[in-house]
Amino acid sequence: MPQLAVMLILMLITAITDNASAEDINRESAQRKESAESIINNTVIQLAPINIIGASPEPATTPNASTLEGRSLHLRQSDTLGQTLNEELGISNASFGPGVGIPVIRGLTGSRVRILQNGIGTHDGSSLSPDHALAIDTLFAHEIKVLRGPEIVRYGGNAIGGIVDVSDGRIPERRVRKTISGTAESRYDTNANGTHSAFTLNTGKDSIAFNLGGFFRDRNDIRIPGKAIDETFAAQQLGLTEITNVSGKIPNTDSKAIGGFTGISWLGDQAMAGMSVSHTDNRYGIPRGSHQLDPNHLDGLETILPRLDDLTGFEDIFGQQALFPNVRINMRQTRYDFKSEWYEPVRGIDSISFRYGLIDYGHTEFEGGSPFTRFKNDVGEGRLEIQQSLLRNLSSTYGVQWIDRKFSALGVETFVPKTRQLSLGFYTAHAYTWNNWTLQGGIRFEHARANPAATELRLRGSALPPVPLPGSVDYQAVSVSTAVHWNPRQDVAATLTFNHGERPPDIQELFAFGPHLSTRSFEIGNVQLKNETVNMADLGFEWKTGRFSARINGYYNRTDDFIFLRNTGLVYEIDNEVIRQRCVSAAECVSVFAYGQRSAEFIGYESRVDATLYQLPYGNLSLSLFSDYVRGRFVNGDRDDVPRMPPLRYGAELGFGNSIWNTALRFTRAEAQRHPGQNETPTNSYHLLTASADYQLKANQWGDLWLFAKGYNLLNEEIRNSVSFLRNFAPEPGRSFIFGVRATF
Amino acid sequence: MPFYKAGYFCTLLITTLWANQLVHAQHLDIEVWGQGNALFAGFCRTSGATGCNLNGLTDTLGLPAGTLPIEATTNKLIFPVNLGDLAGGDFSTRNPGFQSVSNALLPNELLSYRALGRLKYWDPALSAWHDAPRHVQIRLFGGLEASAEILSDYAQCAGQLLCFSENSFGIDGSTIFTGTGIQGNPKLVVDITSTGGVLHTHLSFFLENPDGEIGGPSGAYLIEIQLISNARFFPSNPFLVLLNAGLESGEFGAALSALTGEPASNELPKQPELPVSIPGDVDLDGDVDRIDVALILLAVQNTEMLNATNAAFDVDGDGLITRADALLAKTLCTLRLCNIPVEAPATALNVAATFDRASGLLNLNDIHTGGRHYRAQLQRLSDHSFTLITLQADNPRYVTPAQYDASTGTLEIPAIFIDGKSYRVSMKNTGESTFVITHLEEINALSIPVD
Repeated sequence: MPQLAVMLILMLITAITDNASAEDINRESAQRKESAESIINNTVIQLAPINIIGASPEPATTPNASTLEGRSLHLRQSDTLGQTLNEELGISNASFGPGVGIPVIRGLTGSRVRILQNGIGTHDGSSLSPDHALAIDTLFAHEIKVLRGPEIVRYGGNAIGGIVDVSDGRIPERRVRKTISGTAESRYDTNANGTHSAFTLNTGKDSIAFNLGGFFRDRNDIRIPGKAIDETFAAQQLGLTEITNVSGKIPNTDSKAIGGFTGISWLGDQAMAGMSVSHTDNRYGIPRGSHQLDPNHLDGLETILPRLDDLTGFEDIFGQQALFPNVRINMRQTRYDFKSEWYEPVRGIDSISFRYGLIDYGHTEFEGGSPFTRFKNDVGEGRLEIQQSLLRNLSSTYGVQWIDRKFSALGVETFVPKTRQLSLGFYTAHAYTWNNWTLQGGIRFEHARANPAATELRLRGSALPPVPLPGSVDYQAVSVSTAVHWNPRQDVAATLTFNHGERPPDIQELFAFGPHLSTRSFEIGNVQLKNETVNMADLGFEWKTGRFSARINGYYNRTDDFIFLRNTGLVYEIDNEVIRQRCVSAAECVSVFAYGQRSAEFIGYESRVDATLYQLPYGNLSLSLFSDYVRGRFVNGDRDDVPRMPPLRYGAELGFGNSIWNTALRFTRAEAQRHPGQNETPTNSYHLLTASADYQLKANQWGDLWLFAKGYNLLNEEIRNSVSFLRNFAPEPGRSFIFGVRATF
Repeated sequence: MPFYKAGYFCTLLITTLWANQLVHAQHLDIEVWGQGNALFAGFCRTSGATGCNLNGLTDTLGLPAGTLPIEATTNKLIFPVNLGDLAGGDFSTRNPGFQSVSNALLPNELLSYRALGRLKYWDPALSAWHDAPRHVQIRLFGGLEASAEILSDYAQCAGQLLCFSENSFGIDGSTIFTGTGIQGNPKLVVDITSTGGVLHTHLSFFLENPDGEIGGPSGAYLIEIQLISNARFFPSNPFLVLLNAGLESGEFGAALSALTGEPASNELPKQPELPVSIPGDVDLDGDVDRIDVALILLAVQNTEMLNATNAAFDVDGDGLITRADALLAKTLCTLRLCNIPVEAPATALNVAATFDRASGLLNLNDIHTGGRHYRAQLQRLSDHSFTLITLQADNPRYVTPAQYDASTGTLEIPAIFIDGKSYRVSMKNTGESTFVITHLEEINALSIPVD
């Protein structure tokens, strides 16, 4: 199948490029002629010089970077960031039911991918556990920037796998041109009666600008084809032949979220300063995992209740919800963001910028309505950056970034103690342009320290002796990046990047000790973990003409001391709270994992070809072909697979439209994932068919209306996502139709 | 061991024995208790304790009335179980479990088992017991927590917070019973008791061949173990576990009869009387939970009369077992998943005090004073005064206990739950066990401080 995908792309390139090249030559020739005539015929107008400041030069784009914005962003916007980016090359969606969707970049996620909001981390619980949602609402996004591969120099060790930066402009960055402007959007999803609405308002006067925004999201249980739980998996892996299963929907996957922000800025001639306050409240359910699957296991109540004739007055403790309690998460986050920029304070200094985010995050996990575990993450993250271009063709950046984090996960399912984490990074990056070459290089020095508040950890109800903890653990990390960018022609670019990056271990990797039911594991931290070190080479090629564009990049990533959960071969009985070698009922036991390190390698590619096939009077017919793939393996020993890698994907998108309206039909084929990793289950291949149509309506002088409709999973296939922890319990959503309207005024 | 799971097999025992319907449950958990420096293991608790009726087991096993499954030649108790009775296949079981009721053992007492003797096999073709053949064995997986090889010093574990024997988890955590004797680790952990001395746990038994492959010939298998405690010098008497691997009930009965011999009246060691310290804790597992409520409702439905053996069912103390007792037990429930799913308001789940207008009883379920915790009941005398009627030492149970300052005689109750509302109350000890309300105000729901 990989060969088939490559062949398809090559055939398309061959078929189109001859035609396209000839047309391009003709068009360029005509344009040169028109331009020359224009100069001769028109009077030359002498304009006063305009001094543009504050526009720092954008670094040369590389094939491993992409920005989603405008119409394509609005069409893809979904309830979660992972689902929004799922069609991007090299990105998958680590779902945990529809309420959670975390982007996976080239097979990496969690502590290895930094999710940023306007350049500062989201600092929610998503890096800690796959059942924790991101505290971002995608409808606010103006653009989403994705950088694949290590971006440690500027963003720190947690960007070892890449970054996703969602810009929503909540701090105003430009003076208002109209007294009031803004957007309002509302969409409806037929699957689970989902509604998602948002508005933004921008106003101000002179040098003061003011922003306001709000969103509301609500949906019922997600609809799926077939049954929620893979019964073959339940029988083979858990030994359960009689389970509580549901067809047509995934129970307890409803969600409701509300939030908003307000921002204010002073925008001077040479400087700006602004701040914003935002709050997000998200309440969602977690699909029922393997725990509580067995209807014959109700702590003994199942032997008594059938004999009771009258339960009137006791429905609250013997009703369905009380007997089979749902796990729900109530998440809330309040952010305070500050931003200040000073343009050209002295000659040679382009700008000095300051960003600071203060994040108060917490979520409580409820079981049957009772609080179970409380996660708290209070973080301050700041960045001070100076950009200068003293020398011709050389632009430089100097920066310092710091994070002060207080984290705890306490309660019944406590597995990480209260810990304070500090990290401080100094970095510099330079770009030198010489003819059609651009050389880039950067280096970062980082110091990280983690201080657990406890001196020892005890496992509740266990005979295990208390486990002592060190007072603190310290890490020094040095990361380097280099890139060569070559434009042999104006429409062709080739980029070779090499990154050496180090990631200090995260808190849960150091201090976890206890059962973690969402991932069905008992985790044991390791306080002597070394920095995880990545060495990655990425070769990219991009060709862009008027009617044709192609981009492909291949990469090889060798990560030394890759931190992973090593299966110890022991099990932990949840009910008895005992560690032993084997247990009778796999459903009542979780595997005991210890954080360890082992070298791993990742190899993969992303490719895309876009072509305008025909230019017709009513619109253009376009075709896109795309494919991506990553294979992750451990280097030593039996070279087993890194778990939960995305499968090979390839497909095509056929589009027809013009600047007013567009339609598209997209087909994606995902191959079966036969390399799921040790103790993981493989996933089947699937076909995903989506369609979209949109229409831009100039309503009146007050604004525009944009109407859109989208169909998702039109074949209504059962899709079990190989990067999802819950793939055997919660497939991806079934057929959905989304209708929406967006007003801009 | 989680409290909310603790009553599982205890409840199974009580309810199934009551109903005489032990068709599928041919086992009882092993009851464990301590007395002085000695440890005991038996079929059931002190006579007179809730639902302790061994006749049901006798009926199920087809034994004559008044007899018990006890090996005739050695007087060792026999605990019959079925391999394949739970999810996990036809050749494994988690039964029998081990349990102790509240205060039967010391807090944090570590219980282990010690394997004895040889594996015996009942060959249905020969209808005789003999040492098990070489190609079959019973493997018992115990807990590893108290293993001598466990290391909790990360400096010895290459940084891991916990490991077994030098940086690795390569430990033999199982005991193998064979026809020639005990192999593997002969002594492993059963579990540790809670702060109330309560214990309930299950181990994992597998029938397998010497290569560790699950399975084996049908028949009955007999192993012998005894229990030991880190807090007592004398171990329990050895006892036998009889495992049925695919025999019909008649054949299994024959295997058992071959051990028990001619029926005779059995005298069990008398177990100590334990105080019932928690109203509503009818299964004596140290907590009031949903199972207690269900058991009270079952007793009401069966029109059980109050007697010395079921006194704990009369939660409101009116001399009758009624639905009011179940309702009151529900309000006393201290465990999660006990009440309607609500988002952390003050309920009887998380406040240490409840007041019943009808009876005028103020239940202070957790009073903290001078570093100790007590449980008390006060009877209303007038609108503002109460008299203390019971007071007993207890374990800390609530997040927000009442605070009593003995020097000033002031009692601060952070929240009393009355008819769905919460009140903060201050009382003053005026002497002669009388308390007078000095301050009362309605408050919002108490949030549970979880961090």
